[in-house]
Amino acid sequence: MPTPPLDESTELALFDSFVKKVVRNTAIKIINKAKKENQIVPDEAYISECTTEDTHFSENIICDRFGHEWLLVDVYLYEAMLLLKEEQIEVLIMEFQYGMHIWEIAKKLHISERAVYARKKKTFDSIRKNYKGEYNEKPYC
Amino acid sequence: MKNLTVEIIHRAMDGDKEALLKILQHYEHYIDKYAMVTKTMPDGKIHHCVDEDRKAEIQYALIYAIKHKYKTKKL
Repeated sequence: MPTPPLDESTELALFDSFVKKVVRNTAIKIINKAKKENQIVPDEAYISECTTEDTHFSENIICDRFGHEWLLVDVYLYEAMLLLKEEQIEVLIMEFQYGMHIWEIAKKLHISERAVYARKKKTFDSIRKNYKGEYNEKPYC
Repeated sequence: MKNLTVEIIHRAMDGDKEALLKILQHYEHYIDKYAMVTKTMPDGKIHHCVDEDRKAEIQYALIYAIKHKYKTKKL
């Protein structure tokens, strides 16, 4: 017995459902793939090997504190960074040097994501407060 | 489904470029929603924006699925 032809509204509804399913599944697939790639956290050996002397211009300042070293664009930022605590520097290093997400930092430091966010905000506030460079030169690291 | 008709869907299944474009335009906001990423800027602000690479990947998957996997015509 042949299947009766679908009316227009049913076919449109079926198509709509199909498209949404494809889009949703593809997005989930992409997100899972990205998550897998991001979960590769550099191990301690890699961190200690990572030096900046040979790959950057010598006019950049290298700040070395609490066993971490990173490049800074100017002396004002260097002075502002000297006033940071170890826990604040840790968050900066993980976020900007290793590109870790907030949830990854939280997992590594065994604290909540909200605590990481608050720590980050406090760090930026401290840098902004202590940065004595020109107004247009926004501090970054 | 104001702009979409069964005819457009059938033409898209046969690989008609205009029809595929119409379908992509129709579902653009829906795709944007799934291609949205959250970025934390150095100043601590959070920005939501569409990741164009992710959007293109979804669109490509959708075109492929319409052309090769959608089988309503045969029902």
